[in-house]
Amino acid sequence: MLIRSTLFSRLSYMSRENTELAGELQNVQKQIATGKRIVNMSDEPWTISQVHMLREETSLQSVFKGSSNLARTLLSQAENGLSQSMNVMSRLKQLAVQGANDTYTLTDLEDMAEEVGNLKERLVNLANTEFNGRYVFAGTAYDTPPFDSSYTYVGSTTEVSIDVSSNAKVEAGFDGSDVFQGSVDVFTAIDDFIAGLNSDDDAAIQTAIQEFDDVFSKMGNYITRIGGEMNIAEDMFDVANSIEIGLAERLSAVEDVDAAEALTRFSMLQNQYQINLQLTSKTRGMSLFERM
Amino acid sequence: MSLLTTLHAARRGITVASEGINIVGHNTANATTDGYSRREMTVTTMYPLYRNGAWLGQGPNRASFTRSADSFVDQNMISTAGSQQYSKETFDVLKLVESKLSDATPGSIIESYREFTESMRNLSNEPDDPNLRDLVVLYANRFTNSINEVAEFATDIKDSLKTDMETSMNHVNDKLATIANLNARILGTGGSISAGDLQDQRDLVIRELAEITGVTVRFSPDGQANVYMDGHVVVQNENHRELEYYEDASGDPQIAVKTDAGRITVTEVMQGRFGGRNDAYAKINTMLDSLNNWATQFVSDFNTVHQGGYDQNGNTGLDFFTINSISPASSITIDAGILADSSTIAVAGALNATTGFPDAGDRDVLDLLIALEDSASYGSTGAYTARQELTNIYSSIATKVREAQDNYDLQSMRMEDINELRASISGVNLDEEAVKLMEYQASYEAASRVISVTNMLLGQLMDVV
Repeated sequence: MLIRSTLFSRLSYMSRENTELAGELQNVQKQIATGKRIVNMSDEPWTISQVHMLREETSLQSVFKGSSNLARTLLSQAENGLSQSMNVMSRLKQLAVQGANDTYTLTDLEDMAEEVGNLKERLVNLANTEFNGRYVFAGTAYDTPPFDSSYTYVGSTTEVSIDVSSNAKVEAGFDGSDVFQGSVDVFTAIDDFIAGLNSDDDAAIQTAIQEFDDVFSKMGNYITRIGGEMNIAEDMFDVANSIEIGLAERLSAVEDVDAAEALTRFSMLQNQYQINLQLTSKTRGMSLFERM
Repeated sequence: MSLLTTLHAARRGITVASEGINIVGHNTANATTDGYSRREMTVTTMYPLYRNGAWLGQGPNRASFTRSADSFVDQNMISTAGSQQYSKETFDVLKLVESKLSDATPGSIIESYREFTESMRNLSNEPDDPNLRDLVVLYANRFTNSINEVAEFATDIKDSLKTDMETSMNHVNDKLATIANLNARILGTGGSISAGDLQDQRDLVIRELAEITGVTVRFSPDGQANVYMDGHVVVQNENHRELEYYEDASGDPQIAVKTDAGRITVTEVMQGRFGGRNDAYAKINTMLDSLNNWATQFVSDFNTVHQGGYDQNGNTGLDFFTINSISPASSITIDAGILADSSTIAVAGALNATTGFPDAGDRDVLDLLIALEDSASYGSTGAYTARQELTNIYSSIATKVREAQDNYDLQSMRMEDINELRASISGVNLDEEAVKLMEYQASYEAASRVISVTNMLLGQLMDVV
C-alpha cells in the first residue's frame, strides 16, 4: 500500500522521537546521579511495599544494635561492680576467718573491725555503681543511688529489661535489694560482724563467715546470670548487624542502579539522540522543490 | 474543425492549469498547517460539439475540488485525542501528588513515621533521658507536619481542579458554538474550495474540544459534523447544547449537558483533560479519605494508651495528638503542652508510692505505644498495620500514576499510527505537489503554445482576406 509520507509527519515523528529519547536520557542521568534505579515510586509501584518494609526493618535493626550496645555497657558495669564486690566479700570472709582464730587479741580484732567498716563503705559504693548517671543495681528507679546513707534500699524491685530483638530482652538493671540484701542483708551482716569483732563474740564471727559465704554465692550467681545476659546482648548485636547487612543488600538489589548497565544505556541513548538530531536536520532538505 | 473552437479549448486548458497551480500553491503553503486536508482537483473533458458531421473536443473541465479526508480516520483521531489527554492529565496531576508524598525523602510521611517510631524505641531504653524525649517530640511534630502538608496540598489541588473546570466552561461552550457556526457556514458554501477550509477549521476545533472534554463525532455526507458526549448530542448541524459545571451535595465537581428538560450529568464518562482531572480528583479524594481515616484511628489509639500512662511529673497522660473530625489529616498536631515540655510524655505505667513520681526506667506504657505499631487494625478491612496502611496509600497513588503513564504511552502510540494514517490520506507530500506543479506548468505552456499557433494561423487567414 502506498504510504504518503509528508514533511510535516516526518518532522513531527522525529520531534516526538527526540523528545522521548531526551526524556529517557534524563531518567538514566538521574539514575546514575542518584545511584537509584527507582527514582520515583511510580517507576516500579510493585516494589513500594517491599522497600518500605525493608527500610522499617533496617531502622528496627539499627535500634536493636543500639539497645544491645547499651545493654552490654550496663551489664559490663554491673559485672565489674559485682566482681569487685566479691573481692570485698572475700576479704571480709578472710577477716572473719582470722577473727575466729583465738591467736588475735581484742586490739587486733578492733583494728580488723575498722577495716571491715571501710569495706562496708566500699561495698555500698559498689552497690551504687553507675554508668552515666544510671545506677545498675537500682532496678527501674535507676536515676538515684539505690542505697542511701543509712544503707536502706530506695531503688525499685523491678529489673530493667532492654529489647535487643523483636523477641529477645536482656535484663540490664538489677534489683539491688535482692543482690545485696536478699536472703542475707550484707550490710546488717557486716554490722553484726563488726559488733562481734569489737566484743570478741566468736559465735557472731562464725555466723558472719556463713553469711558472707551466702552473699558471695549470691553475687556469684548474679555474675553468672550477667554473663548469660551479656552473651545474649552480644549475640543479638551480631544478629542485628548481620540482618542489617542482609537488608541493605536486599534494599540495594531492589532500588539501586546497576552502574555499568546504566552507563552503557546512557551511551546508547546518547548516540541514538545524536543520530536522530542529524536525521532531523537533514529531513528538511528532502524535497523535489529543492531541485526545481 | 474550427480554429476558434481550438482556441476555446486551449483557453480552457490554461484556466484548468491555473486552477491546478492554485491548488498546488494552497496545498504547499498549508503543508505544515495542523489539521489541514490536502485538496485535489478533478478534471474531466468538456462535452464535445457535433458539427459538420464530426465531434469536436472542447478541452478540459474542472469538475470539482475535493478534500482528501477519511471520516473514519478523523473520527478515530478525535476519540483517541480525548483518551490521550485523559491519561496525560491524570498523570500530570497525580505526579504532583506522588512528588509531594516523596517516598524516601526525609520529612515525607512514611519516613517521618519511621523516625517517630524509631525515636520511641530508642526512648524505651532510657525513658527518663530528656534528649531522647525531645527527639520523640521533634519527630512526632515532623510527622504531623508531613501529614498536614500532604493533606493541604491534596486539598489545594482538588480546589484548583474544580476552579479550572468551572472557569473553562465558557471556553468549552465557545468551542461548541464555533463548531455549530462552522457547520452552518459549510452548508452555505456548497462544494467550493472554501468549504474544505471551513471543514478543516471545524475539525480542528472538534479535536481541541475532544482534548478538553472528550467527544465522539459523526460526519454526514453533506459535510456536517454532529458531536456527542456519552451518546448525548451536543452539536447537531448548526445547533448546539451547552455544558454546565456544578458541584454535587458532597462538593465534588460535575459536568452536565444542559437540555430543555434539565441536565444530563456526564462527569463519570468524560474523556479529555476534564475526564483526566476528574479521575485524578477522585483518586486524590480516596487518598485523602484514607489519610483522614488513618489519622483518626492513629490519634484515637495512641491517645487512649497515652492517657493511661504517667509523665515525669507524676501526672496522667494528656492527649498526645489533637485532631479535628472535619479534616483530620490537615489538623493532626502534637499537643501544645507536650510540644513545649517533653517531660509530659507519659510512658510510665505506675507511680512510685514513695516518691510520687514514676521510676526512671518505667516504660510500661511506652511498650504499649510501641506495640500499637504491630496492631493490624487499619484499612477498610482492618487487616493492616499503621505503616502498612501508609504504604497502601503511597502504593495506590504510585500505581495510578504508572497506570496513567502506561495508558498515555499506549494512546500516544495509537495517536502516532492514526497521525501517520491521516497524513497518508490527507497530508501534503511536497514531492507529489512538485510533480503536479510541473504537470500543470507543462499543461499551461502547451495550451499557451496552442493559442499562439492558432492565433498565428488565424492571422495568416486574415492576411488572405
